[in-house]
Amino acid sequence: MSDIHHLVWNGGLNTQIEIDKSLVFMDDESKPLFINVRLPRESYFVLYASSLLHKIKLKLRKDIDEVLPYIWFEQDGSNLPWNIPIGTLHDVMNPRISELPIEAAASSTSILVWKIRMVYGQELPQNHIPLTNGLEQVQKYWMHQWKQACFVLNGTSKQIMSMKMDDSKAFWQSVISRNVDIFSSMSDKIVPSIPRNIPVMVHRQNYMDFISQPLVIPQKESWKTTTLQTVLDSSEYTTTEQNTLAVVCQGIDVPCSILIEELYRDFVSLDGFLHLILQQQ
Amino acid sequence: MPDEIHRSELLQKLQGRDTIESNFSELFEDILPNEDNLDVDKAYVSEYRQLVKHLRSEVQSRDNELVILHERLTVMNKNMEKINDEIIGSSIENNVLQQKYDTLRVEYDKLVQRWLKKVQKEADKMNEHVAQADNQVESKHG
Repeated sequence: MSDIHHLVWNGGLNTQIEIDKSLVFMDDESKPLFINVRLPRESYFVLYASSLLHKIKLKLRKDIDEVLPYIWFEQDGSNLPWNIPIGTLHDVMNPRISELPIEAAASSTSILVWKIRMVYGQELPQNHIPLTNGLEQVQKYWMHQWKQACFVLNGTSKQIMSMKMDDSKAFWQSVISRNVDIFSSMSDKIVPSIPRNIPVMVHRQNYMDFISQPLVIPQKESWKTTTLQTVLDSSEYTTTEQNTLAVVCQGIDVPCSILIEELYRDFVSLDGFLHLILQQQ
Repeated sequence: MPDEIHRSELLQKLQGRDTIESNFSELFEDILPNEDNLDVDKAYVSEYRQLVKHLRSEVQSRDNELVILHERLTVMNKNMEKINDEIIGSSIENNVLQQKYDTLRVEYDKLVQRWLKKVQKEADKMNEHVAQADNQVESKHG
């Protein structure tokens, strides 16, 4: 596993979560309740919902199991869908580091805090997948993502479908326990040495509903000449504004001249996709 | 090797990202997925679980009570509105009746005055006749 992938997997975010007042015992004049936690970039919000509720369980108005299906996270009123990795959600909703004032970014006394809300309600937001089967549903969704990624990479989902039950469990457990070595050893069984296509998801800054999955095929049948720029050129949604767009992946700007295959191998997310965010320069 | 240059550039950027994003990370608690606070004392947990269960049911019943009271308040407010409307209607009616009463009163007073004048006239006439008759009787005897 490369140093870069290690950094990608171990990236974390200082997060301040404001708890919805209707979830806890407090009157209208009480100060809002906050939880300060460090969340990993490479995980799903939904995996931490129960742990977060446990931290305030004595203040909860209802049982954790009762509220869990009706919980979601949002920033500035926009839902943060649980089915997208945390780091990607952060990068979609916030300016990239290179855009911050230099003195603020470089100073050792400055602090970057992602402020979000944990919301409770019977009416779920439109782009929220209802959780009816708890973590089992999350696991199935994640496995489904990998099946898609596997099909794009190999032209078949055989590699993941024929995975041993124990391996399949260990693969999911590596996501839960955040064990990068097991994760890499399992994902290596799926990602071929010469992929057929590359599974990419393109997001747009501040648009939670915009997700595009362009077809990334090798140029002249070789990945040695297929760069991120080639992918952007073949995407109809960027042609008109390419010069004004920056491509962000895992919180950093990535140069368009980089080979897409290498970018994928180093920056692939926990769901088998390479998540790219288009931000205004 | 352009890719090696890219890799070292990306490595540097990721390290820079981590330096910035990890500043004061000690203020933020690390969290595990599906954490159930297993390290907490079991006796403490069972004691507080009981208490919380009791308090939650208490809150539930108070919440229900609140809902009922809110409904009652809504009905009462509607009744109040109805009564207010009735009061307004009644005072308008009262005003109209008062006006009618005042007009009738003036008319009645006028009639009484006229009637008194008439009766006075008749009485005066009668007195006159009586006085004339008395005078005639006296002159006959005289």
